Amino acid sequence: MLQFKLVLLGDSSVGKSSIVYRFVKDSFDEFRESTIGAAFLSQTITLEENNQVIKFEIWDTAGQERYKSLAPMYYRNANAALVVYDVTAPDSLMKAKSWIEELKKKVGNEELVICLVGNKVDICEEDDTKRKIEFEEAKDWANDENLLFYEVSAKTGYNVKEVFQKIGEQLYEYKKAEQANKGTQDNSNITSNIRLQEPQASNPTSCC
Amino acid sequence: MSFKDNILNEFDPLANNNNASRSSDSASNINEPHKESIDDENKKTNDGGHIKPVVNKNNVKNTNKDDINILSDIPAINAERETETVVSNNLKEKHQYGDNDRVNNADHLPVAQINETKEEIDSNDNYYDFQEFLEQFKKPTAEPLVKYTRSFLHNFLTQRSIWTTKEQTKLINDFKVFIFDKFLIYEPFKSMDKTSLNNAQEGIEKLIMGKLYNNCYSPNLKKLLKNKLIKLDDGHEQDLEDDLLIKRKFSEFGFIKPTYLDISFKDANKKSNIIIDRFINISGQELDKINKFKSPRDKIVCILNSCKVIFSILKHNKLEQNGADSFIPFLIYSLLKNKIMNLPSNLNYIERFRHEKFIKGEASYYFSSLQAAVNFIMNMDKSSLTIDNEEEFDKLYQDNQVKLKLMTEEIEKEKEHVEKVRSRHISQTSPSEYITKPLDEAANALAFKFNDLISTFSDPMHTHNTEVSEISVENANSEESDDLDYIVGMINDKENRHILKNLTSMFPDMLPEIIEDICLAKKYNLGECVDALLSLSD
Repeated sequence: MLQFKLVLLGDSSVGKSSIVYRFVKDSFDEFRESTIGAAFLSQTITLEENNQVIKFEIWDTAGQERYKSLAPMYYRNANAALVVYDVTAPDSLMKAKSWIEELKKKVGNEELVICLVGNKVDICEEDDTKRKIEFEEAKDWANDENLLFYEVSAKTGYNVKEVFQKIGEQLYEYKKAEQANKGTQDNSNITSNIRLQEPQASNPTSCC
Repeated sequence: MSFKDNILNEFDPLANNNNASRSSDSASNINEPHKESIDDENKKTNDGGHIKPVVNKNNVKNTNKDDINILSDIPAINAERETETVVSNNLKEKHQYGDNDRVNNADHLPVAQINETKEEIDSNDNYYDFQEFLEQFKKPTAEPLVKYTRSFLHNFLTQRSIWTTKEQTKLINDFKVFIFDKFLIYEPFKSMDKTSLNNAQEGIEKLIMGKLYNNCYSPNLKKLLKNKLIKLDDGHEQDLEDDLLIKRKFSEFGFIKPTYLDISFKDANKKSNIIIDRFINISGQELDKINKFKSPRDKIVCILNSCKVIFSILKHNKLEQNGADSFIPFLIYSLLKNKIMNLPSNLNYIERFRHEKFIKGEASYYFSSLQAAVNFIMNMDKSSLTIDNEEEFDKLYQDNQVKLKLMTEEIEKEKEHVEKVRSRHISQTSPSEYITKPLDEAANALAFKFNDLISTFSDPMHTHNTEVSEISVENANSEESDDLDYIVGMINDKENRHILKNLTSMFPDMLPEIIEDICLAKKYNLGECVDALLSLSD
């Protein structure tokens, strides 16, 4: 089993926590229990392609503007980031973009998998005039930035599982490449436990 | 010279860089039953059989002949260790006939990871039994490990009067890497499965941090050095400055209302506010225990339990689906209301001395959240808050400032008064002072024993040692002052009643009998009880 840390970012009204709730509830698995904590959730999935089991530890962040400065504490050592916006709220994509810029600048991990997600497409299905951000617009931007991209609905569950499947696949690819790079010196099976936590160099509670 | 020789003779902790890079978790995959009967083990110990004394004084003295200052430190270590052994056996006996068989209960898992206990692919990383580790550590085959540890502790404590925070972190981490490797060489650790080995690694961390606590935890280090007139290094000094800064912020912004932090709930009426205050209070009591425990793991469990209580506030108010958007403001609000001492020092201590392989999962999330919240408060000013009615805020702020000023003045007066009384006292030096002294010492010794017992041996979920010193002092005056079992039992009972009371007030709609049943089933572990009650109320 591979274990990855995924951080959730996005404005407070975009429904980022709901997406994860939907994901965890829909992926009920009688063999493995998931965790639903205050703002921490964990869920395992099995990759369709190769039956690789992947466990996500999902770290939620506070979306309110005033708590923006707390985010670095959450995204350090992350393997993946889910950056969420609301397709009916134009400002929320702007904020998502600024999160992605920050992630790229601050997280010194070139293999950080970032997925941009537009939520609340169910509202547009009922009334298309509510849509403020076109699929193509966001998709093109995500392509230019080399991100994964999905539109989802936490309410109906549309595309939610797919997001996590895709992130899992990507993470698996990176891991596989990393193992291959290590070459023969390390014969350990890819499914064995891999240490993902990096030593924490900074001293986060000192203010200056 | 090999590292082994090095550590036993002229161990220079800073020189052992070459060990730092070794992998610490290349665990064996032997799947043999990991749990021996502790009761049997315990009998062996009590029969005075073949288990070697943990500390061999001669050995220590010989290997460190040339060190300055040995004698003042080493006997202290010995005494402490011996106390532990005696006390732990007492504690176990108590548990053998008590119905709360906590220490020996292999099924008992920390609340931190209860959600993951059914994980079948991973080994059970969450199994934790410090007693079991100590029994294993005392086995003759593990003697080299005991020697390494003792030598490390001795050198750490005597080679210098102060290490910087960076040096301490490196020394202790290097030692863990070193000893984790040695676990793979010596029985009984050598043939252990991953779960038991993990427990041993947890155990050694707790053991050494218990011994080095006063030298590593900044507030205690300051007290220690004050007597020796040595100045603190910058790292530890910074911890203390941060402690002071957040204390000031707690006073300055302690008056704020939930709305200032974007906390809103649908039916904000008086009744729900009272309930929320009660929860906030309980989460504070849980977090306050962080100052009562020495090991990084125990401190993290305090954080976790405190956060579980906050999570139950969210559930009660149907806010849990908002995730961190609701959780973080409540956490900050709880900190401002509860004003727990020395949080920055505690957090930095955990960060420095909790081995990285253990920093994961839900506990790690709450730890990071607390760090983030503490940072937020340290930088807090008016612009950090949502203020709808500026006039009202300014008035509350000013009123609070006036109140603080009055309080400071009162404290000053009190101090002066105490000084006066004391100086009068000294000049008169009544004989009675000397007569009462031995009694005080007995009380102190007992309190020390208990502090040691509890902080070194028990989990934060199990014991509530705020009352420890009270009780032990009370009893020091009675004939039963040496009856440790009796006191341990009293502490447990008192703590259990306390937990039951808290839970009843947190879940007013639930029948008290049901709550009590759950407490019994969950062995009065607050975090687990909260989880169970929440799922029932769903």
